[in-house]
Amino acid sequence: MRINLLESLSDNIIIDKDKCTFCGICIERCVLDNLRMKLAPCRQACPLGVNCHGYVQLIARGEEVEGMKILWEKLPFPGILGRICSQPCEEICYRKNVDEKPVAIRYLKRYLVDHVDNSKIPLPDVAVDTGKTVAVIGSGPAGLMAAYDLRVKGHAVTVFDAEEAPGGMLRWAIPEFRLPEKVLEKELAVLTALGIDFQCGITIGQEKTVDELKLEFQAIVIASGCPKHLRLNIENEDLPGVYHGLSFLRDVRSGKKPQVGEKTIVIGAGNVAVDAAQTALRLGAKDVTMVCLESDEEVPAFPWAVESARSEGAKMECSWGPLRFSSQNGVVSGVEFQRCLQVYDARGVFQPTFDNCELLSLDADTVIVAIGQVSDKALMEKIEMNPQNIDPVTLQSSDEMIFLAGDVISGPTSVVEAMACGRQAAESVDRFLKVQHLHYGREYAGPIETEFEINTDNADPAKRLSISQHQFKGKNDFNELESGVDSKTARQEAKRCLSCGQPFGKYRTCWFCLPCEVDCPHEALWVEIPYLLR
Amino acid sequence: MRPDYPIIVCDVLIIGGGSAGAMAAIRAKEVDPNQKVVVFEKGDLKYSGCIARGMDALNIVAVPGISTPELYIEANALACDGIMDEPVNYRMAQRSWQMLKKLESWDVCFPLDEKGEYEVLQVHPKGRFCVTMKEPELKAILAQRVYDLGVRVINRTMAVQLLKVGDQVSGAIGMNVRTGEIIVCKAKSVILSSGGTARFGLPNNGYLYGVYDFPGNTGDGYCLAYRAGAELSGFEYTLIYYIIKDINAPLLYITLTRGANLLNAFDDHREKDHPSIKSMLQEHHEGRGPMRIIMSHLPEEKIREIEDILFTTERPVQERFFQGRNVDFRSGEIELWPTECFLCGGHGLTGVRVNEKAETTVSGLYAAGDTSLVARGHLSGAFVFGEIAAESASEFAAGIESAELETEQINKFIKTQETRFDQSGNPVPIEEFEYKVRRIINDYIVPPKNDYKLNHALRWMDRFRKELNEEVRVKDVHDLFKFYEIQNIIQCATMSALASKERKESRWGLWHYRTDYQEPNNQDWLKHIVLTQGEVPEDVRISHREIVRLGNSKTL
Ligand SMILES: Cc1cc2nc3c(=O)[nH]c(=O)nc-3n(C[C@H](O)[C@H](O)[C@H](O)COP(=O)(O)OP(=O)(O)OC[C@H]3O[C@@H](n4cnc5c(N)ncnc54)[C@H](O)[C@@H]3O)c2cc1C
Ligand SMILES: Cc1cc2nc3c(=O)[nH]c(=O)nc-3n(C[C@H](O)[C@H](O)[C@H](O)COP(=O)(O)OP(=O)(O)OC[C@H]3O[C@@H](n4cnc5c(N)ncnc54)[C@H](O)[C@@H]3O)c2cc1C
Ligand code: SF4
Ligand code: SF4
Repeated sequence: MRINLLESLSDNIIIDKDKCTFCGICIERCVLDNLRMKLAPCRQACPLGVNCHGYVQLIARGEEVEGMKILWEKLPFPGILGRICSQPCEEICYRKNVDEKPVAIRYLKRYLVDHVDNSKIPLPDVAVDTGKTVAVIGSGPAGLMAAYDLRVKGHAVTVFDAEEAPGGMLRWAIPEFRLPEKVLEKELAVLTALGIDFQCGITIGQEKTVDELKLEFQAIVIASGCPKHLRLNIENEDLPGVYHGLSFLRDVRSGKKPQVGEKTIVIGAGNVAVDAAQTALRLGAKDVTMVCLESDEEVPAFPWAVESARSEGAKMECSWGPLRFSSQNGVVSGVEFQRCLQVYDARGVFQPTFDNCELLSLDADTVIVAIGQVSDKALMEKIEMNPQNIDPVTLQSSDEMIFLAGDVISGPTSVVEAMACGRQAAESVDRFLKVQHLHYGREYAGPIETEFEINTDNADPAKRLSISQHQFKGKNDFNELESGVDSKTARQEAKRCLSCGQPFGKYRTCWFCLPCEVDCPHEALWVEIPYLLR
Repeated sequence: MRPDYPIIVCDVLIIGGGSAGAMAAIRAKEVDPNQKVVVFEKGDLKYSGCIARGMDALNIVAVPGISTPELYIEANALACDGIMDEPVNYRMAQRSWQMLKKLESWDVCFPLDEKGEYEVLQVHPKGRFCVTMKEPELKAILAQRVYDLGVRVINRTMAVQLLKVGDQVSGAIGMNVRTGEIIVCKAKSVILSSGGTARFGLPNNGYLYGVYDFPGNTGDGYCLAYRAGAELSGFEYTLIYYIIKDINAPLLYITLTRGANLLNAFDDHREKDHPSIKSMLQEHHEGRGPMRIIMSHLPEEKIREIEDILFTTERPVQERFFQGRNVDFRSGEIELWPTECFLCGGHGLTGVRVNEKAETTVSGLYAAGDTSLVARGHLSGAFVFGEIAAESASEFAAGIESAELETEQINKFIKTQETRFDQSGNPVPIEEFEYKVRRIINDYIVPPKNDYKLNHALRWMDRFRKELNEEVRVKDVHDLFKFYEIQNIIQCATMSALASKERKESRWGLWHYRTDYQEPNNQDWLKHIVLTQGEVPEDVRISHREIVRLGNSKTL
């Protein structure tokens, strides 16, 4: 740690943590750049930089409307992320050091959305029209976020999508029982209200080409995701009764009901596999088994998702790799597996090794292959672009007017990461259109401190709430799994937050001139006269 | 750090968005709403500079019926002991009333009495020019206009070098004080309004930033101008204020004009003797200090009035200071004491030489506010010359097709900047270094002065220049930011010692008191001591210039 003459002086900036919302206004106001934010671990972890610390504290104080405003500042899709976010914030939550359970940060987000009357939260201000137009290809999380940010910055945005309605995986893959369509529709409506034009049912590269878009628009964001499922490429993979995860889920969400037999095997244990397993149960399967290469500890799906599937009766067989499909009367009748010894090599590269002496045969009348997705190479090849060849900071491609965002860049990630990526691309596009420098200031993490002591002495003893789950009732029950929470429970949960971090006077260069104090919206900051002068 | 950098193109670049800079930005947009105006501001423009929480007076206003520009010239010449260019000060006073009215039209509060008249106080040896103001939001009001008019403000950006093509200024290099990145502004004209050198001598309280004047000002404007070839003057005017002990915040006239008593250590009353900063400092220096302000005899109503001004505007932090010291104006006393030594064109006579059009001696370069030499112009000088500089700079810009850049200058700067982090393993933290530099300024430059001390000051500054490169640690961007500031402080100290050595007389009370030349000598020294750069920054060339009289303004 760095200590010098000034930094060893006492800090004269006093923060009332019961009032502070950790908004950082004071830090921007300081005329001598004295202040920094000790950034709570949850905020450090959020790819979108949502002030989770702030909204959780506001819930604890019973100020839900203020909390919602904080969410809304960075996040036009709180209802979506409140349900299905991969919640990296909770992964790192310091509360785990007290009783192993993180604060339910994601679920509290949903609580805010459920409890705050939307009419109290105005639409964001849209900047004066810049006269510039942007095409966004793909309306998944990455495309939606890019479109939103660019529109707010005053550009005219048209979003193209090959599907008949926008949303990407949010609409066409993630099951209704985890993300109800009405939640998606409500948040998409905000984008339409802001004037974003959605052109659906147009596949770029087919109905329209990128070259045509280049003539019509001044910048293009490609956020086409990973819409292609991976194949096992083993014998009999195209037998009737064998589905692939993504198209299976897509069929379900588009109202088609794929035939599912009593005994279903899902190959894979990622989130798509888990969703497929739970969906199969809802389509009438009596016995669902997920079989994966990974060992028990390596299962890639979210642990809470696996838990949910298990609670509905899905089983899991770990460390098995599929060898072949067996068939009877021209339809699938089972899968044969061999023991998987190791999935990744010493360098962490996917390189499974097997023991073909140890075999497992499972009967099945339905098999769903869910082993991963990749981007649509056709589009990229058409425009001769290699997604790996983009600038990692600006996401600009070798064609200066084309930017990439989301899963198309490096394979499947998560909704929040795809959104953050969309935001990153939007920032670049905005600068590009305004003829500003694309890199300037962007590798700077912000006026923050990431390492500091956290005091757990006053931790509230309450246990983590249990998220109320809808009990799966059997076939055709597509009701949402998670339900909301009442204020009392939510506030109680929020009080478990240790409120890590706060603004402080880092450099001790204070002139006690007070702008930081005056502009604090919550009267949370008090400038003491430095001790030497007091 | 990337090798490439953004280049912003504009008509007028303003360096420093304090009182003068903000006013210049507004005026430049008023003059021509279509021209591109950019501000480089080290802090955040909303409150940066001296007037973070407003001001309690516009010190110089020629109020119709009360005072005139002519009278002001007379009064200020006395206050400056004759070292004052008349035309610039005349122009300032002449436009001061118009300025007050303009501010008022922006809802800046100048309180009126029952008769609907302004409170106009006497703070000069002659005439009443000081109009009471009560506007804590002064800077926020200016800032709002700056943004509304479409000025591009680049905050957290310290100008580190002016760019020139031939003899003409063509922009500046800025450094983001948080990221260390370089940003270049290509400009047809440039206005310097980056204040004086507030962090100069070390204050008695021992706290590097516990100074009277805004501590973000480290003589950058002087050094930028100097390195670009402009003329500087008044570096021997080493100013020391006499205000509230320890906190170094001002309050004198607000209390005295409302009936407070001023006593020295022997309880002799001084309030009736037109006390000034200069006279109080003298008395203190002669061993009859500290001076004290006493208000216990005043009626409650007056005390409330005083508290109301002091605790809301300018340095409202005083309220918690007095509370912490258990000082109640109704019973206690306020102890005054000398501040640290500083250099300033607004309170003193140190600055970049300008003419009535705010032109410096370098083509395309203008200066305003504490950076410029409009002797003792205070806030009025900053505002009026902010406007004048904007008018002249805009006119100059309009006459130019486009500015050019010599990238060689930028590459050279980047190259040296990159080597700075080679110092990351050096032993001396930059703050410790600053402490010592400023302590040595106290020892050898702060008056009383003599040749021996000033020679020592010069030797020390040479040594510091070397140590800054060889001993001082530059580990992160913050250190680098401070590195550039201290480089300027050292340069200012060198220039101050040289100018002080040159002026072989005593003048301005204690401020340039030389024990080896104790008397003023109008015969030989009623003139400016002008500094310009020779081959390298350390090579300070000294020359003399006549005082510019009215009707003779071309002399500059
Ligand atoms: C079943 C499933 C469940 C998941 N569950 C979660 C979860 O719970 N939490 C979580 O964080 N993440 C989850 N994910 C991951 C997450 O959904 C993705 O990481 C995210 O949607 C990627 O966003 P994107 O915008 O990059 O791409 P996508 O969401 O895939 O959107 C891409 C869009 O581009 C369109 N498109 C593609 N090519 C073209 C073209 N040529 N012309 C026009 N349009 C085109 C597609 O139609 C699609 O609408 C899940 C993924 C799946 C498949
Ligand atoms: C405490 C106090 C009380 C005063 N009271 C009065 C009063 O009552 N009446 C009166 O008339 N006058 C008063 N004055 C004087 C008056 O306020 C000043 O003369 C005037 O504000 C100076 O304005 P300026 O623009 O030159 O400097 P400032 O307002 O200090 O602005 C300089 C700006 O330049 C920026 N800067 C510095 N270096 C750089 C760089 N390298 N790059 C970019 N930006 C830079 C700084 O951050 C700052 O924002 C007072 C001064 C002080 C300190
Ligand atoms: S002290 Fe005030 S301004 Fe600063 S982070 Fe807290 S609430 Fe925001
Ligand atoms: S009081 Fe101190 S911390 Fe606050 S703005 Fe002024 S210098 Fe910065």
